[in-house]
Order: sequence, then C-alpha cells, then structure tokens
Amino acid sequence: MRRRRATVRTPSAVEPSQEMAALLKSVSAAHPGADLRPIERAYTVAACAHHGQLRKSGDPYITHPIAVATIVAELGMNPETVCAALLHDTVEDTSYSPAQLREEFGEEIAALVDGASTVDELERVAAVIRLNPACAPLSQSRETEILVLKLADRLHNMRTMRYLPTSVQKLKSRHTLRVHAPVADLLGMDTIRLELEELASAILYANLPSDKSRTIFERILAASVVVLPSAKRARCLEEWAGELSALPTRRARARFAVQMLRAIPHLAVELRWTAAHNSPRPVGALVDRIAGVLGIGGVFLTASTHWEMAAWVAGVVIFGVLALLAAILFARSEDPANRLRRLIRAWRNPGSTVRSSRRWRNRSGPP
Amino acid sequence: MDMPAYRMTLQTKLVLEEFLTEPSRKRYCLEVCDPVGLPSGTVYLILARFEGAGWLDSALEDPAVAEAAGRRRRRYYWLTPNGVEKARAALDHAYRPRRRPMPGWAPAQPDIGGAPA
Repeated sequence: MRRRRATVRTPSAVEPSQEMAALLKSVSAAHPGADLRPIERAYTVAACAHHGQLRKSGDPYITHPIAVATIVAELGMNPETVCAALLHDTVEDTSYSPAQLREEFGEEIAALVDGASTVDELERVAAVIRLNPACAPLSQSRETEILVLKLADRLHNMRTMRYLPTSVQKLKSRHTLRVHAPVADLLGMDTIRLELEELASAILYANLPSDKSRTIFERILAASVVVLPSAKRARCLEEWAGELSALPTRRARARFAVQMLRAIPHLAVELRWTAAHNSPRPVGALVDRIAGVLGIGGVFLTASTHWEMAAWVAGVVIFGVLALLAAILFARSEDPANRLRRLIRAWRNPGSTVRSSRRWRNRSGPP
Repeated sequence: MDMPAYRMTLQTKLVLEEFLTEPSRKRYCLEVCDPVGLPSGTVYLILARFEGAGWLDSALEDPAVAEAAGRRRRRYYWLTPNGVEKARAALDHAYRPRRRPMPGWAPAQPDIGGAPA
C-alpha cells in the first residue's frame, strides 16, 4: 500500500483533468453534501494503475474510467458506484490486486468492482428477461448497481467503437442488442437503451444498401410521432424503421409511410386510451361510483375523467355554451352589463357602494 | 369490467381470425396486412389495441437474424394463451346471429342463450 501511495504522487498521472472536475460536479449535483474524497482517491489510484496504458483511440486509458464514472454519476447513482466505476478495470487489467482494493476502499466498492469484472450476471438477467419479459429479477440494490456499471461501461465502449476492427465491432454490437439493451430497458433507463441500440444498429446495418427514400420516410414518420404518448414514440419508430427497411421498392415504402401517417392520429387516441385504462386509478374508481349515482350527468363526468380527448371536447363545448350565453345576454342591451358591473362593485366593497349611491342621490336627486 | 369492451369491426375480426389460424405463430405487422388485405396503419392500430389489452404479446427479433437478412429488426406479435381464449369468444359472439329467423323460413336454431334480440 505504501508503494502504491508513493507511485500515486507521480505528477503526470494524477493531474486532475477537466473531465474529472465535471464528474465531481455531477456527483455533488446528484448528492449534495456527499463526501467527494473517496472519488478523488479512486481517480488517483486508477490514474496511477492505468499509467502508460492507452485506449485503441490513442487516448490515455484513464479517460475510459472517467467517462464511465460520469455516465454513472449523471444517472444519479451513489458515490460508491462512481468510485467503483473509476476502478472497474484496475483489478482486471493492471497489477492492482483485489486485496489492495478491499483494503483501501472497503468491502462494498470491492464487491461492485468484482461484480463489474465478471460477465455472468448481465447474461443471466438478459436470459431471464428473454424467457419471461414480464418479470423483474432485480431484488438487491447491489445487483442493480453492478448492472448499471456494466451498461455504462458498454455505452462508452460503443461510443468509442470505431477504432476497433469491423468484425469485433459487429460482434460487440450484436451482443449489445441481445444483452445490454434489454437489461437497460428492464432498469427503466430509456436514454441509455436508445443510445446503445442506435450505436449498435449504426454499426450492424451500416452496409445496408443506402437508399435516400428510406431515411426520408423515417424522418417524416419521426416528425409525426410527436402526437403519440412519449413513452411509445421510440418503440413505434423502431418498429416502423424495421418494416420500412424490409420493403423492396420506393413505392412500397411510400405507401407504408402514407398509411402510417393516416393512422397516427387514431393511434395517438388509442394509445392514450389504453394507457389511461391500464394504469391504476384509485381516484378513477371513486369517480365511477359518483358517476353511477349521478345517472345521465355521470356519463359526462366519466367520459371526461377516463378519456383525455373527451375532456378536451367537453371543455370546448362548455366554453362554447358559456360564450353563446354571454353573447345573448350582453349583446341585446346594456342593462345586463350595467347590472353586472354594479353587482361586482357591490361585492368588492359593499359599504362604500351604498354610501356613494346615497351621496349621489343626495347631490343630484330632489330632496 | 375486467377488460375494455371492443367493437368487433370487420377489420378487427379479420386480424383476429388471421392470428387464430395458427395461434402459436409469431407475425410482424406487414405479414398480417397481406392476407387480410388491410392497410398497415389499420392493422398497426388493431395490434396496439390488443397488445394494450393483453391479448397479444410482442418482441423484437434476434439481431443476428435481421442482420443476416440485411435489414433492421422487426417486431413480432403473437396471441397470449389468455388472448387465444378471448379472441375465440369475441369472434363467436360477433358472428352469432342477431335476429332469429322467422318461423317457417329457416330451420329453428338451438337456443345458445344470451343472444341479443
């Protein structure tokens, strides 16, 4: 340990970078008041252990742990996981031993680093998801932290994949789509899943016959899915891109795009309706009961609470009726308007109105 | 009410029938469109509706298969066990005669009960 500390003082290896400052900033943004010293220490140890190693891109190796830790920190994970992210490759790729790690950073971080170095866990979760998509096999928070670490690791590797040979890129991309993307989906990390899928698809489908019309139709559909519920947009686009890419001719693709464009408004209503009916609605059940008691009036109440579109329609109808009533009442003569004005004045300051009207009467009227 | 009530339109019936011809087979959207002769938008709408109701389940295909075929991944749909039962029941109900034939004009049908008048 003493020797490690001695090498830690090597100036070039431990010069904290801008990336490190950004990392510390995002940790303290997510966890105000958190102790940042272990993270700084983890950085120093990792920078020292990876000293002299280079990424395939030619960058110093330490840029990778920092990038992974930044992804983890931006996801709002705890400082221990950020430390583990900085140290995740030390035991595997350098002479830094597990015993040293345990001694310097404690059991928890050592367990996270150990979990992140083994492949089995992610594969196991992905296999469970593949067999039974509805299940959620994550019981312990440490399991989740390890999975997040692995996903962040893969995400940064995918971002910097272009420096590897094409065959390795394809292999890793396939693995990402099979294993990492479903796990990210399970953890509810949509942005990570989308980026992983986009990066992997870009590599796997790079040599598809390049056809301008496909991307044009994809763009048109991408612009029009804004009316769909936000949770469903990416899924729909992905599915339609799959169908578009399989269609042989430009004409078939155009027909598909037009048909989907025509269906999108209906689809928006349908998906919102489904979401409203499938979500747990304790308030909705109460509204149902009240509506049942109200009879015919209850139909409007039920419709407006159950169905977003119906609420809008009801709102527009009510507003229209009010506007019509106001027009009928006030357009024919000035009397109702004057009466309303007097009423409002009386309501705002009741005493003064009475006094002023008396004064007015005394001044101008006959005694 | 344990499930939303759907209007069994002609399109809906066609799509459900297509799925029921081979309930265990997985199909993608355009694979359903061709035999039933409906536009993809309509079929997609019906698939989304029944997936929301739990009659259908879906998943993206294996990336290796898509890559070998030189295209992006498709989403495949299939009937859930519960969906098979409900689809059969819904089609039975939809095809039940609405009016009783006039006596003497057609052979009397056995009363299967609950037929709306």
